[in-house]
Amino acid sequence: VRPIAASVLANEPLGADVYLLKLHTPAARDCQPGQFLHLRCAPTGGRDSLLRRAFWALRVDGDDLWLRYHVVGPGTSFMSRLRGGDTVDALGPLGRPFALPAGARHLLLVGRAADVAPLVMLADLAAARELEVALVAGFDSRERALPAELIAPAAEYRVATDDGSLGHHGPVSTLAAELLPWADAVFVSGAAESLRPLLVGSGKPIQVALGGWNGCGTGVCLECVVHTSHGSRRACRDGPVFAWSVLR
Amino acid sequence: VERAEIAVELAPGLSLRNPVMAGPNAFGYGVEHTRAVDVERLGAVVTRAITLQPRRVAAGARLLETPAGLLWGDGWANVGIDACLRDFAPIWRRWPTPVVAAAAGFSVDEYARVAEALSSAPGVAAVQLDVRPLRAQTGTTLEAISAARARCDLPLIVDLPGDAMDVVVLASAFVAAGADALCLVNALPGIVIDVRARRPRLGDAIGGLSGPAIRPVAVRMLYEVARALPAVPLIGAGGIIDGDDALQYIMAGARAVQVGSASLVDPRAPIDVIAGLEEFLQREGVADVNELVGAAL
Repeated sequence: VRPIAASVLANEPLGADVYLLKLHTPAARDCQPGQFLHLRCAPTGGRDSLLRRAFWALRVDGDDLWLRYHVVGPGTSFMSRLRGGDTVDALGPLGRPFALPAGARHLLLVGRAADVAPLVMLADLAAARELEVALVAGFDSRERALPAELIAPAAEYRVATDDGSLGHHGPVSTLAAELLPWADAVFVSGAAESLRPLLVGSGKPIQVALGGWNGCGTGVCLECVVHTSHGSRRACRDGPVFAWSVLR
Repeated sequence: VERAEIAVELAPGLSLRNPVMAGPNAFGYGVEHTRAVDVERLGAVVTRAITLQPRRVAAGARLLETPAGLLWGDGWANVGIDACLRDFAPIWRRWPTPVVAAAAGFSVDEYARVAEALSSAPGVAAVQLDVRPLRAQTGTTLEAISAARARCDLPLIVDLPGDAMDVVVLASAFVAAGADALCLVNALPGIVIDVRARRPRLGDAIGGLSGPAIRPVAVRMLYEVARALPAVPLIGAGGIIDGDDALQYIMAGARAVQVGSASLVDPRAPIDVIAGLEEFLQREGVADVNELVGAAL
């Protein structure tokens, strides 16, 4: 757990209630795909909105680190009012990142909604290593989808939306099923449960990033505990990336 | 004032280099934060509540954010006394900072056995009883304190429940049962209801409310006990975020404070509280923090 000072470079709306927060922090250089920053979403010394919120790193570039967030409550509403030059109280980067299996050439990345973010960064890494990568992502609607400009150009990017306003009309698992035979490693973030029928028995190495929890981010509060075949594990500290095979 | 004296004697055999203790529960077993926090600077570390057997993490939501507070429903999840002594006590022994081991149980016998095991453990300086599991059974709680006292040679701190109706009567009874010091207050029982699902959000329904939301209540309870029982060493706890919050408890009669919820938000919070305390003493020209204990009574 490392406290870092991060200054806001930009806080850009991406769509309905969705923002891209660009931070400047030397910690960006240590950040890997699947890791997150834990941000205090309240004024310094504030006595409300006490818990930090976890945000996936979406991209790093030198000392710059990008996060995507969706305004859902008072904490993220506070974030939406951040302006260039503001300082953010952050811990991180935290958590165990994705690991690229040796010898894997065809990477299938499957995600949903806010949890697509770490896959964007994984696609960056895979593209830089000249691996073939397909990112399939499910969103509520076009308004909430990640624009293709944010995805590494070398990656194949396919979108599914619940309302059919962009890409495939239906669940992301349909797109994932088409690409699964091609893939020799699979990376899942969000929608893991709905992908279970597809992935069970696939025989592929699968890693899953677990988001959606809310807690201390440092392994103390036990809010994010998941049960694995090795016993209880904390998503924030022992994860958030786990091998699919150990998750129950 | 060159540099104010901030060391305190909490109880016979328990001296702290400053009055700020990290925890309980919110600072884990202390070992989680050794890279983020210089443990040597803390007055003491108070651990997660330890039970006789390991207790698994309960299903469902376990920690909720509430207005200026946190509602905890962790069900005393912990590794159990054996693993705790095997894995953590050797680390605690290397620290110059006293470690106060928090103990919880679901029977009188469990409190006695955990307290006894901690009493002989290297690296444990004192035991703090979290008596919430025996809530609303005052007689049983007193028996548990007496039983722990009989089996424990270390200083014994007992938490006072935040929902105590007559806090002075309860405090007197806890001291008569063998408490060397009292910590006020333990989290207040609370419930948050998910109105869409029409049921409590925590798996166990009732959780413990902590954080700034409870601070005025906790300061009042400590103030009442300090006035009635001036000789009993008191520790303030509840919503301490900065040095001034700590000073409220100290001026109400606390010799030390515990920083819980704030440690969960930022493991360095206890260090910030110490810095705020020192700044105040410097600014106000107070030579020794002990001069301020009970200053508002």
